[in-house]
Amino acid sequence: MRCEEASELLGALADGELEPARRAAAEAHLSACAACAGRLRALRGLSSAVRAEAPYHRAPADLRARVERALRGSRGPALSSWRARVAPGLAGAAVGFACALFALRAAPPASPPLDEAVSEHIRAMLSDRLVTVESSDHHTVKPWFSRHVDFSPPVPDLAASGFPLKGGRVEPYGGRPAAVSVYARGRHVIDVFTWPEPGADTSPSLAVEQRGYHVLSWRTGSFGYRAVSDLNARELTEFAERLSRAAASNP
Amino acid sequence: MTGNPVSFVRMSVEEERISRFEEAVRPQLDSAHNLARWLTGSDADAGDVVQEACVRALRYFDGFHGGEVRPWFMAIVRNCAYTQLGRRPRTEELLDGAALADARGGSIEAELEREDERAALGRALEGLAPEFREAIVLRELEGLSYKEISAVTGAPIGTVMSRLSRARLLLLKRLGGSEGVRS
Repeated sequence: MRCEEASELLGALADGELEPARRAAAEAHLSACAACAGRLRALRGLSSAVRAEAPYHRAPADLRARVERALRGSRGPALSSWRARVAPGLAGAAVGFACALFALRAAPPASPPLDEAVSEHIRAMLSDRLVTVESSDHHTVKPWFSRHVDFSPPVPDLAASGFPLKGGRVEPYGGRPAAVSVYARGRHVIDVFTWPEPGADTSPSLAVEQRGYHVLSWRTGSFGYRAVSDLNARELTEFAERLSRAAASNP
Repeated sequence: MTGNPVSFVRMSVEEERISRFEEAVRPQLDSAHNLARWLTGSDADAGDVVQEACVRALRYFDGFHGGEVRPWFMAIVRNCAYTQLGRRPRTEELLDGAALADARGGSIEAELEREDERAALGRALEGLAPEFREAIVLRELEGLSYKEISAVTGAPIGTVMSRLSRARLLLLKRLGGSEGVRS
């Protein structure tokens, strides 16, 4: 492969988007060409810089309320006509009732259901979208979370204990966004769901075993945690205890 | 309770439909706003775009059966953003990145010395033409796959790949980090 062809593929290679044959050809070229290897490094550096430094414009709080109002004002003509016929008092009561139902359902439960963690984990594993921010550096992943959820979860570095960080993503979990830090143990992937949950600290305990997956649940420093993995329960417990200790000592 | 119970039921059904829609779209609002803000360059426009996109998406929601909500909704947001841009007097967005950099007095490299890296990066990204800017935003800030970017933008995957390549080279060049990268 020549440099011209290789440099067109470098971006897709860095993004993990090349099919195996082209990827192998590009990698073979890279191992022999320092210039292209340098270009790939520059592209990777740029990606991390954009992810970490470029402004992320989250939706302002009032936009959510505005959208809610706009959706309820946007009913089709058929609905508007019957709505006009309904006694205003009843309409008000109905809307109030429906909104109350909505609010009730939207309110995040204190502890999200355990099986939801397993399904989210399996879905992420299958969907090839395990991490949105890919980095083994907790100094990259933690600030990324701060920009994508309205809390800043602890993301300790556990590489020295044999649990390297892979990255992170944000999942809706129990009706609110949870930060999901992704760690590995050998070939096993560990998803750690974290969300604000006031209350006394609890120790990690095996909460559920389902479809070959283990879920550990605990609370440290006003954050709720769920660790999900197909890793064996003993090692997963070791991981959770290390993470919990590290988070408590360096939140 | 007095009044017409049928109306009450119909209203609940409609409210139920809106609630289902909100549950599906709520997790995407930050992404939607981020994309709209990067495309329109203005907070006010971004808010209008997201609101309009939600109203439109609700209208199509019944025709949406399964599949991924995220690319579907982001494609609607993107369309609304371009519609909004089309409504504006056509000035700045017609300038491509290079022209914009020229208009601002040349190299952003010099600005790097005065501004921090973050600001320079934001400026460099703002200076890209929309098709390059959206590729970077969708890939790097939203973490979409090439396939998803293709679904959002309607461009074939090969085009997504070449736009991203081109966008990155332009960014590197503008950030003065072009060593080893041919443009």
